[in-house]
Amino acid sequence: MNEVVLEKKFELGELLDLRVLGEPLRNLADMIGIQIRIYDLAGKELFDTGGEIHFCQVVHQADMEDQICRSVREKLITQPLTGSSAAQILAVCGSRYTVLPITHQFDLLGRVVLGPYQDHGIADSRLSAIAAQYRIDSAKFISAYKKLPNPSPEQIKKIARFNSKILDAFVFINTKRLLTSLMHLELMMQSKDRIFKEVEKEMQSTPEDQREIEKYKKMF
Amino acid sequence: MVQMNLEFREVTVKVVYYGPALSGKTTNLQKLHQMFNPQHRGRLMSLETQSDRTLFYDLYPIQYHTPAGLKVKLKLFTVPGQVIHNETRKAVLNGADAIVFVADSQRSQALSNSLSFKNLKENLKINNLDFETIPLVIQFNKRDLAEIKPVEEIKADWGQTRFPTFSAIATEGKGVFETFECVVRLGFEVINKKYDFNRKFGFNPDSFFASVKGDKIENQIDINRYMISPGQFAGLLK
Repeated sequence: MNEVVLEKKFELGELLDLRVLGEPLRNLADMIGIQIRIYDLAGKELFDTGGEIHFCQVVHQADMEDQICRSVREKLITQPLTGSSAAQILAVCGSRYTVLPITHQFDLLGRVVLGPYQDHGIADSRLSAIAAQYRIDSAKFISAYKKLPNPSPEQIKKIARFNSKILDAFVFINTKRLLTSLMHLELMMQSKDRIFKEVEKEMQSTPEDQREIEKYKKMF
Repeated sequence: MVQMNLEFREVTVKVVYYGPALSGKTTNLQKLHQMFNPQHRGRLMSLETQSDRTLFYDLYPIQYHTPAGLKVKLKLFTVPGQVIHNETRKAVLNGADAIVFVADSQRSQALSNSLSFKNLKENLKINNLDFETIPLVIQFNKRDLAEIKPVEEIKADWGQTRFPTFSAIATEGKGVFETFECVVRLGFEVINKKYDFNRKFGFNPDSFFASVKGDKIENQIDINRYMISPGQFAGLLK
């Protein structure tokens, strides 16, 4: 048996059945009003609950939109994650994100991003300052910001925990399923090779059988 | 053999639980899982049949960080004991750093133990592993059953060999951690001799065990309690 199968490290995309997983995640996103995205280890986006976020549309109109959004995206996919702890990211535009590691047996496979949502308790004066800094209409900016979901830190903890548990279950079950399938295939291939060798051996040892098989071969 | 990834400051040590079918290899891993500190333990992954017999293997990882920031991963595997699964056993044994041979203590299982032990020797050779030097601990499991090989006989038969022997009742968790501690200490000793591991990476086996043990069992472990004969472990006993 090929021992590489035992050491095989699967990529996150192979382990998440996104068609199946997508449904509960979309329902969850609808329920809590917070966007959920999944990235693999290389930073490739695998899943997004989608939807246009009004606040982001307002920020997109800013002069420095590219700079603002790029810096947020960079942070979300490169923020170092340790163990199973979630990281909190405060974007330059004032919105907040939670980033959760997706791990399997201590190996980091990717990350889940929850957000944007309001930075709980942020003052209007701070929002006005941000709007001024990026030359966005202050009233429009604050109004859009207030439409972002505003979960308490405790709620975010619970949502993050729920997400972690769902993804952990998917990753674990699918790793097990894939490993079982791969090992089963390996054994099948070995059986096939062994049978071919046996047949070959038999053909060599009994010329009569060989003639018969040759005869059949012509008939098929 | 031990995998060292210095770029990621990570060392992986592989311990394989070997033995005949139904000797208690998976039970050893299941009990260990309950004994470890949740912070350090991964999840036990069993690839089994519907009747709970190990089909391919069980895998159970443990992770520990040395004060110098080196990540030490222990991967505990079991093999399927059934005779027909020899190809799987060979593959699981590949790259093993240390082995626990789980024998069934019942006299009726002597032949089954012998065949499996011989099979281990053959499969080590196939994997270019040296039977004469690889850390190998023998666990005589199922000490609660009738008609078992007495401790005196085990001492007489195995006491002069290099293999440490332990008695165990894996279903009750007895002798399980002790066997594990012995095989891992032997494994670390080999790695230390080869790579000067303890000095270079500030690794200390005592801290490792103190750290990975769960709170509930911290004061109950005494490696001598279930040891029948120390074999090569005698040199490491305090």
